[in-house]
Parts: sequence; structure tokens; C-alpha cells
Amino acid sequence: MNEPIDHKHEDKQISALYQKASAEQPPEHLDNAILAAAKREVRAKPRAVSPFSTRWTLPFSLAAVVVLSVSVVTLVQKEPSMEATGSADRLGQAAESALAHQEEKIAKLKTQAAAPQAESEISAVVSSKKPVTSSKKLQSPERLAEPPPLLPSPQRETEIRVPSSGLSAELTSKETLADSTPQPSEAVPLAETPKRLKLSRTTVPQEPKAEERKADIAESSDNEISTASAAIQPLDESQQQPSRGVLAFRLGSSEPACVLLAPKMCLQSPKCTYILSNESDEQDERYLCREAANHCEQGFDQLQGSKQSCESKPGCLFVPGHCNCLEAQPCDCQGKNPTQCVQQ
Amino acid sequence: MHADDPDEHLMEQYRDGNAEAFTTLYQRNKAALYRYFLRQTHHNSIAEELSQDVWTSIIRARRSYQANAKFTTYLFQIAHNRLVDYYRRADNRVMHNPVNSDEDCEIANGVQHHPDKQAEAAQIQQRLLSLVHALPQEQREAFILKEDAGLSVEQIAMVTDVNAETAKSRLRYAVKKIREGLKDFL
Repeated sequence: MNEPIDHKHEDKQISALYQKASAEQPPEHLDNAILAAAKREVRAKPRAVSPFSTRWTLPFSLAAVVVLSVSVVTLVQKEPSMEATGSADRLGQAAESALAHQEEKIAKLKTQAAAPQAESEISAVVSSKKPVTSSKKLQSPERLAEPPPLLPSPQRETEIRVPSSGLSAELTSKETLADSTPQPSEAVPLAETPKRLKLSRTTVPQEPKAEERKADIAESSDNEISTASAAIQPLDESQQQPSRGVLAFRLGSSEPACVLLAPKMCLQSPKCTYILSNESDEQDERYLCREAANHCEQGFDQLQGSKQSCESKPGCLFVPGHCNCLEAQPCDCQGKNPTQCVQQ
Repeated sequence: MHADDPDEHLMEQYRDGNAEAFTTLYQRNKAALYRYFLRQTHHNSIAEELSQDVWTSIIRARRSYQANAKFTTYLFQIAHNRLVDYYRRADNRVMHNPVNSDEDCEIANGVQHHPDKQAEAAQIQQRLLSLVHALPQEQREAFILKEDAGLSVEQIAMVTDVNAETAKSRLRYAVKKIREGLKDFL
């Protein structure tokens, strides 16, 4: 019974002793720091919550999402047209490359133009259906993106000049636009008797693939050149000097030029005359198809024409030849003269 | 504001922007909190750091303070959690070793070996602190909360997150050990 009472007394003694023994105090710097922090916290204004952040956060986010989505969709829809522009750029580069290749081939011909067979080489180049247009046009992607004009421009022409001396050749290409006139100094006078042909773009019937040509620029370029090649005609009747002069190819005639005709077709053509040229050593390149030079040659069929049909014209003389142009066989004159109706 | 305002009222005043109320509140409770950490960690610097952490937490949470309990209970709940966190981060030897190190035992027995070199009161106080130091952590905490913070058994149970019987048992064992250690002086 007495033990709990004693313990209570002892516990009170222990508590009193502890209160005396436990007298540690925190350092003054700690007090200052804590009290300063308490005052700073009171002085600091509470962070005001903007009503915009709570009221307009969701609508603003939704609006931003809608705007971004519409922008992305619009850009995606516009992308095909951008790809078309890029295709036009690539096509422009391809056409330019083709033009450079063509000019390189023409330059090679310049070195070989000393021989009279230059005309046939030029015809071969033109018949290769490669673009002979000015590089100025091909360098413009915007123009290439547009469909090429189906109707030719009469101002566009390409001149290939081959001096008749045979020692050197000069081929120039120029583009005559509506706002510019050809430079007279660039043209060789006729007195110098260069061979001159003039190429001019012609009006051709629209082919069934016209729509495709609008879409495919490169293909259109080839078609234009083929059309131009098939439409070479003499520039001027008065300037025709088949043996000497400037070969001028004009794009604008629906009739093929004589230089482009095959031997058999040249022999049968009433406007062309197939002659033997002595300016080349190679047998295959000794023949030349040129325009009929006089009334005797005009209308005369060198393959089936008779002596009577030739000499019925006044001042004309029938000269028999040795050309053999059978069907399914190459036309072979065996290096000799073809049949001609010459003016006496 | 009066000097005899209860702690809860002072804290509410501080919550409403009265810095002077906090000064009074701090002056009343700073020593008890500091000694609470000092008795548990045995290091002044750690006790200072932990005390500052607790007061800083109270300052930052002043807007959400609600006087649902005694302020000292609220204060030492925060202190207890901070102490547990400290034990988890630091070497938890003290936490799980009911019997403290040999050094502590030497300190506790030192007074007994040289009783004639110190004054009797000082000898008893030193002996008492050594006995408190040698108590298991839970019993020491219960004893400190009772003697330094003045909490009741129920409040000790609330602070240490145990039931009242456990808190009462811890406190009884602590006092018993101290009583036995001071048997020659009492």
C-alpha cells in the first residue's frame, strides 16, 4: 500500500530535478532566423490567383488545339501543289541538262562542219528529237510549271549557220522574244554565202495526248521538238542556195524539209532533189537532199519520172541515174548519180 | 494580444498576420522543442537544424492552421515526424538500440565513480540526464514529452501515434529506470 505513494513522491522529485537539470536554450542566431522568417512570411502578400488562369484555361486550350489542327490540315492539303512545284523544278533541271547535252552535240558538229555533209549531220541532230530551245526558257521553273503553249510563237527561232568554206562552222542559238529584236550583227550576210536554215515553231493539230502533255512538261518538250523538226522549211525562196549559204530552219511549216527526208522520199518528192555531193569522202554521206533549184527539178520524180516528163519542160534535160530503191531494201545509188532533170 | 493567451490563440493570430503573436508563441515553446531534439540526438547542431525545420514548417503552414488540438500537441507531432525522418536518414543505431553505447553507460556511471568531486545537486542533475540519455528511444521520448513539453499521457500517445496504454507504459518504464538510477540520491 505504501509503495505507490512513495513512488509518487519520488516521481515528483525526479520531475523537479529534471526541470532544474534541463535548462538548455536554443542559440540566439536560431531565434533570430526563425523570427525573421516568420515576419517575412507575414509581410509576403499571398499569391493572387489570376481569374484568367481558372476561368479561361480550358476554353483557351481547346481553341489552341482547334487552330493548330486546322493549320495542320491546311498545310497537308497544300502539300501536293508544293510537290508539283518541286517536280517542275526537277523537270526544269532535266530539260536544262538535255539542252546542255544538245548544245554539246551541236558544238561537236561545229568541228565537223568543214565537210559538206554537215547538213546531213545537222538534220540528224534535229531529227534526234532533243530540245533545241533556248536555255532561258528552261531555267524558269514557273514557266515550266505551266503547260507548254500548243500554238507556236513565230518570234522564236533558232539559227544554225554553217559557212560554206568548209573549214570552220559556226552554230548559234538565239531566242527572239516579242520585246527584243534579233541582232543583225549575229546574222551572217548572204554575200558570205553561208548555208542557212531556219527553224520555226509550227502550228500543229492537237494530238489526243494533249492533256497529258500539259501535265508532263518533259514529254511536251520532246513533242515540240519533234514537231519543229518535222516542219523545217526553207526560210526564203530568194535566199535558197543549196550548195552555199546559211541553213535556216524555220519552225512554222507543216511540210517536212528536204534535208530531213529519207533518200527514197527525197527522190519521190516534187519539191526536193536528191543529188550527189563531192564534198565528202564517205560513201554513205555523199548524197544530199535539197530543195528543187529550178523549174526542171520541181515536180520531177527522180525515182519513177521519165525522160519525157522531164524534157517536156522547156530547157530541161533528163540525166539517167543508178539509184535502186526497191521495197524492203535500203535505197542504194551505189555511189553514182541519181536520176535528175537538170536545167540546160 | 495578452501574454497569457493560449498558444492556440496566438497561432491563430499569427495565421491572421500578427507577427508579434508568433514571437510570443515561439518564446514559450522554443526551449522545449530544442531540448526535445537535443535529448534525442545528443548533438546541438542537429537539434538546432531540426528545430529550425519544425518552426519553418509551422510558419509556412500558418494559413491552414486550425485549432483542433493543443498547440504543443501540434508542434510536437511535427517534431516527432521530423525526428523519425531524421532517424531514417541517419544511422538508426539509436533508434533500434534500446541500450545506448558504452560511452553513454560510462557517462551514466561516471558520477557514481567520482561523487565527491562535484556538488551534490549538480551530481544528481548530471546523473539524471545521463539516465535519461540511457533510456530507450521510445521511453526517452515519452519522458521528455511529459517533462519538457508538459504533455499528458493522451497527448503523448497522440504525438507518438500510439495508444494511450502504450504511451503510459513507456512513460512508467522510463520513470522506473530513472528512479532506480537515482536510488542513492533520492
